[in-house]
Amino acid sequence: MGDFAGLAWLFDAGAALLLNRPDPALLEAAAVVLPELPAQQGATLAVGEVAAEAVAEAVALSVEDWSDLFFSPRSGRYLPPLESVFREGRLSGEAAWNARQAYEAAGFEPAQLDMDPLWRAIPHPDHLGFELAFVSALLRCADEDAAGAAALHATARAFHAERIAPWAGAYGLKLAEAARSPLYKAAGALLQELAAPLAAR
Amino acid sequence: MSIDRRTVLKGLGAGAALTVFASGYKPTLKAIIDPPKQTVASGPSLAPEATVDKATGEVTFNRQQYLAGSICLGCTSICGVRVRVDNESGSVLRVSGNPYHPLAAQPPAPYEASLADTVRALSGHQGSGLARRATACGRGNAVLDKLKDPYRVLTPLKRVGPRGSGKWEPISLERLVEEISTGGDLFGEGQVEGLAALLDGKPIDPASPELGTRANQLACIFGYANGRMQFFQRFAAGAFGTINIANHQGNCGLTMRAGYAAMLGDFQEYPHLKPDYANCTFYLSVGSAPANAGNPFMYQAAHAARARAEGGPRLVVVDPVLTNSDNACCGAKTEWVPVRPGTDGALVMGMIRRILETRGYQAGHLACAGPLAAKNAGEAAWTNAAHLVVADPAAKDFGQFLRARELSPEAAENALLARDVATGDLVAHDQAQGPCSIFFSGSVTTPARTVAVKTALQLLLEEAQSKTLAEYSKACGVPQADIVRLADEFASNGRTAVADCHGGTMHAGGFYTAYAVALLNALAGNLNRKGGTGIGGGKFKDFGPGPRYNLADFPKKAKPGGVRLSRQGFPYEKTSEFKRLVESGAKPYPARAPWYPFSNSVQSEYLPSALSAYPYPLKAMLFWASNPVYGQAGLMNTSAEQLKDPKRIPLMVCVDAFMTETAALCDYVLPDVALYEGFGCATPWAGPLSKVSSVAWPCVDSPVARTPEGDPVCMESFLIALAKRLGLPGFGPEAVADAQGGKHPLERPEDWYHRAVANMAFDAKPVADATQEDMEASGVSKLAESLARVLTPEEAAKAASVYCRGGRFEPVEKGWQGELLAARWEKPVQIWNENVARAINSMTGKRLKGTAAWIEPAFCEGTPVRAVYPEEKWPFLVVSTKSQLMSAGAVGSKRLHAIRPESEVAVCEADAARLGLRTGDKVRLETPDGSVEARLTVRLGVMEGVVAVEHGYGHWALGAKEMSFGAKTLPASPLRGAGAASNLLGLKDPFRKGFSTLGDIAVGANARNALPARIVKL
Repeated sequence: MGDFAGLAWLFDAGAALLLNRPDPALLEAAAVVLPELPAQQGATLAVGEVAAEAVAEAVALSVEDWSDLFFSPRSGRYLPPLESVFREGRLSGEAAWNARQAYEAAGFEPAQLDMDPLWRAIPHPDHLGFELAFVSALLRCADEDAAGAAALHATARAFHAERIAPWAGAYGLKLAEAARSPLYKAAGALLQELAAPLAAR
Repeated sequence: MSIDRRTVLKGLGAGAALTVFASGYKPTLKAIIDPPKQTVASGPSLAPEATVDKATGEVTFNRQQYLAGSICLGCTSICGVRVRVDNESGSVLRVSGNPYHPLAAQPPAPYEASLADTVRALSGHQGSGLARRATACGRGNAVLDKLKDPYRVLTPLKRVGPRGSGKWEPISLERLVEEISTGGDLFGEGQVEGLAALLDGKPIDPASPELGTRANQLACIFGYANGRMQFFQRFAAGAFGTINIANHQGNCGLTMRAGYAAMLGDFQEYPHLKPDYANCTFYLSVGSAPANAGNPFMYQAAHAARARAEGGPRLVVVDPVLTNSDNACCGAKTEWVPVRPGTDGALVMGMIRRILETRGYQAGHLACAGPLAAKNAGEAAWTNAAHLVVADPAAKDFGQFLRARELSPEAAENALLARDVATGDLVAHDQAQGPCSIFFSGSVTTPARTVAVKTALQLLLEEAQSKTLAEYSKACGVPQADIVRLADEFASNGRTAVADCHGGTMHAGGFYTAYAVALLNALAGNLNRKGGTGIGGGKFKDFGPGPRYNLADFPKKAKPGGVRLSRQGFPYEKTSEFKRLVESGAKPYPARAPWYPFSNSVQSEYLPSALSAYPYPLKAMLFWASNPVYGQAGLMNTSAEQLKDPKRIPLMVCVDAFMTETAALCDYVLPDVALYEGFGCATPWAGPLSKVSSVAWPCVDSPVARTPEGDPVCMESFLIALAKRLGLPGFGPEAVADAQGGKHPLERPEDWYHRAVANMAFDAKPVADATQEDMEASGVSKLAESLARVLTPEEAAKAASVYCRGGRFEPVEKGWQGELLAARWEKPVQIWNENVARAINSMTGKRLKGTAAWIEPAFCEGTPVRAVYPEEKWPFLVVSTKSQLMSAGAVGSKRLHAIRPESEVAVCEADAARLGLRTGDKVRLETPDGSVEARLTVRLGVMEGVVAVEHGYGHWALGAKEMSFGAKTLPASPLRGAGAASNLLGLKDPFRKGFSTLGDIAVGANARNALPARIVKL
C-alpha cells in the first residue's frame, strides 16, 4: 500500500465527514485521526456515566452543526458544501454540470456511496463530499492498477485542480469558523489540508 | 501538513465509520484508462429562444423553440407564465413569467405588443431587460418536473385489491364509464349503486323532502378556480343536478373569505378584498405574509419587495412565525409582530377598541348611511355603521335592523333606519342626505312600539370594550403598548392603511378574527379608494353568456336544490328533523352535527359527513384535482379505516394527474392533463385592479391515454363521455348556443375552451387578429386546425391572438380612476351583519354575534379547545406555515426537493432549552388526536410555545408508497414521504356525534392552526 492509499483514505474521510450524519461511531473514528479533534470526543469506549454524557453531548453538538450548516437556510449559519453555491452563488450551476460530466466520463456513480438519506435525496454532483470521494476513488484505483495508474493520477490531479483546489480551502476555513462543534471545526481544517494541490504531494 | 503519515496510517484502521465506500461500492473507473468515444455535450446552457440585435433591436426567433403563454398551476395563485418548448422533442425547456401578465410583470407589456416586442423588451436592447422582466417564482420555475413525474396516472385505473391497497389494473375509459353508470358487483364486495340510478328524481328521504332528490347523493369535490372548474360545475350542477359541489375553500382560506363576505354583505358570491399594494402606505398583514405566502403570491411579493426597496407601505406581519416578509435589511419598513396562534382576533379587537376610543376612524365616511349621503359627501362606499339595530333581547327581531316600513309604509322594502345628525330624526338609509349618528344607544318610537336600539358601530364598540386592552394583550401575547402603537399607526395612515388576512385565520375562531381584520378597513374607510382595498378588476367574459357563445345556459339545465351534505347555507331550524324533535317534545339542540347557515363550500365537512351519513348518506363521490385526504387537518389521522370502508361511501372516483392521497383511496382513478398540457381560462384573485383573463392551451402533448377523438383522457373528456352515457343535458351535439341562436356541439374539450376564448376576444372592443409571426413564435399555429374546426374564421383569428398572449389583459392603469379604484363594491359595508346575527349555533341554540369579536378557538358548542386540552398537558400550539417553495401538489419536483428535501418543524430557543432539545433532534410531535415524527429546527423567529410545521411534506401517496398497475410495480420513493405532514396533527371535535374534524364555530372551516401539542424527544 503506497502513499496514495493514505491520501485516498484522507479524501474518503473528508467525504464521509460531509456526507454522513454524526453519530458516536463517526466521532470515534474521526477522533483517531483528526489532530484538532479532542480525543474524548469519540471516546465511546470510556466507561462511566460522565464519559457517556460527554459523548452524547459531543454527538448532539455535532448533529446541531450538521443540521444548521448543511440543511437549514434560516439558521444563520447555513453553509452547504456545494461548489456552485460557494463559487457561483447559485444551485446546480456550471460547477455541478462539469462535475457530473467528469463522473460520467469515469464511470463514477456518487449515488452508490454511503451517505445520509438527506444527501441521497439531493444528489448534487458538485457536493464537496462527492468530489472528494471521486478523487479518493481515482487514487485507490491507481493504487490497484499499475498499468492505468498514470492516467488515473492525471485525472485525479486535473479534477482536484479544477474542482477542489479553488474552493475547498476557503470553504473549510468558513466551516471551521461557523462550526460550534469540534468535529466540524476539525473537518474544516481537514478540508483546508485537502485543498492543497495534489500534484505537490 | 498537520495530518502526518502516522495519522493517516492510524486512520486506515479507523474502520467503516469514516469512509463512504464501506457498503462495497468499488468503482473501477476503467473509462479513464480506456475512454469511450466522446459524445457531444451541449453544456448547461440552453440555446436562446431568440436573439436580439443590441443596436437595432431586431428580433430573430429560434425556430427550434416556441414561447407559449400559459397558466402556472404550481400553487393556487394562477400566475401567467411563458412556457419555452422545444419544437422537436415537445419538451418544456424552461418556464418564466408571461410578459403580458400583471401577476408576472410590473409593468406588463402592452397588449398590442407583438411577441417580438416582448422579447426585445426583455433583452439588453436600450437597457430595458431588467425593468421589463417577467418572472415566475421558484416553484413556478421548478414545477415543470411534474410533467414527467414517473408516478403520474396515465390511464384509467380500477382497484383490484381492497380500497387503499395500492393495487390497480388499467381499464378503458368506456368500460369505466359503463361500470360507474350502471353499478353492480364491481369489486366482488357486493352491489354498488350506479350513477344512473341516482337520476330517478326520487327524494333522498320522503320524510325530509328538504334534503332534495337522490341526485344529491353524488358529491363532486374539486380544488380551486384553476381555469377549468366551470366545466366541472356544468356537469355536476347543471347536468347531473347535484347540489353537492364544493371547492377546496373549507380546507384552505374559508375563514378569510367568510370574514370578508360578512363585511361586504354577500354570502352568495363570497367576494373578498385585497389591498391596492402599489399605493397603500401601511399594510397590516395578519397570518398572511407577503413574500412568503398569500394570494396572489408573486404579485404581492413583488409589490412588497419594491415597497421595501424604494419606499412605500410599511409592512407589519402578524404571525406566530417570522417569515421572509421581514428581515433586518428592511429596517423599520417591515416589522414582525409575533402572536400566539389562534389569538390574532384578540390583537385586532384590541386595535379596534383603541381606534374607536381615540376616534381614529373615518367618522365622515362611517356617518354615510346610504348611497345618497355617500354621494353628497364624495365617498366611494358607504356602511351600515349608523343603521339602528334592535337591542331588546325580548323583541322578536332582536339583532335585526329596524326597518323603515315600521315607521312609514311607503318606505322601500329593504330600507333601514338611522338617526339624522342634523335633525335627530329617524331617516330611511336610502333617503339620508347627510351624516347620521354612528354612536347611539337608546330607544326609538315607531307607530308600533318603543324599542331599544343601538347603532351598528355602537355594537362594535361595545363588543370591543367587552375586554380591556390588558385582557386582549394577555390573550394574544402582544404587549399592550404594541397594540396601542399599531392601532395608532393604522389610524394615522388614514385611508391608505389597509389590513388583510388569509390562511393564518384557519383556526377554530377564525371567522370572527377575519371579520375583525376586514372591519379595520371599514374603520379606515379605504374601500374602493386608491391606496385602500378593492375587489379586484375582474375579468373579460368567458364561460357565461358572452358576445359569441352562451356557455352558461342550455336546454333542460338542472336546478339543484335541497340541503348540502356539508349543511352549509341552510338553517337547522328549517329541517324536518328539527321540526320533528320540537313536535315530539324533545330538545332539538344540540343537532347531530353543526349547521352553517351562511357558510360556503365547506369541503371539510363532506368526507366526515359522508362517513357519518348525516344529514343523509352519499352513494358516490367524484373528486377532481383536489386532495382533501391530505389537505384536511385531522381527517386521515382520525378516519383512515372508515375512508377505506366501501359500506360508508360505496363509490369513490377521482380524476387527477397524480396518485394523490385521495386518489389512492378511490375505487377508480382517471388521468388528467397537468400544467401546460390542457386548456384553461382563469382569473387571478382580487389582487390586480384591472381586468385579467389568463388562458392556457395544450402547448405540450400529454402522455396520458387518448380518446378515440384523439383527446387526452382528462376531466373534460371523461365528463363528456359520462354525461352522454347518462343522457344528461348540456353535452353532446347542439349543446352550446351562439349569440344568434345557432347550436354547436360539446363533444371535445376544444369545443368548450375555444368558445370561451372567443367570448373573451370579442368582449367590449374585440382584440386584433393574430399575426402569423406571433402564431409561429408562440406555437399557437399548432392550434390552427382545432380553432378552424370549432370557430368561425373571424373568431379563430382573434381567439388565436388571445392564446398567443396567454390571455387578455386590460392596461393596469385602468385599475384606477383618479383617487378611486375603477372596479368598486357598491353594496354597503356591514359593521353589523344581521344574517350572522340571525344565525343560530345548532349545537347550543344560541344566536351568533352579529359583528366582529374575539372568540377563543373553541369546539362546536363553544367550549374552548384549551379547556379540554390544557396547557399543562399540551404546552405547545401548532401552526402550519406556508413553504416558500414546496406546495402539497408540487411534491415530486426534483428541483424543489433538491433545495428543500424536508419540511421545517421549528421551535424557539427558549422552548428548546427548556426541553433539552437541539436542532437536528428527532422528535415526535403529538396532539390529542395525531402525531408525526420530525427532525427539529431550533431557531429565532418562532414565538415561545409554538411549533411551526411547514406544510406540503410527509406524503403517504404521490409515490411515497409502492403501487402496482397490473403487472407493473412502482417502488416507493422515500423522498416523497420526507418531512412531516402537519395535517396528521389535526383534531376531531369531541362534542360532535359521528366523524368530524375541528372546525370554525361559525362557518365550519377546517382548523389547521392553534392545535394543542407536546413534543417528545426520540
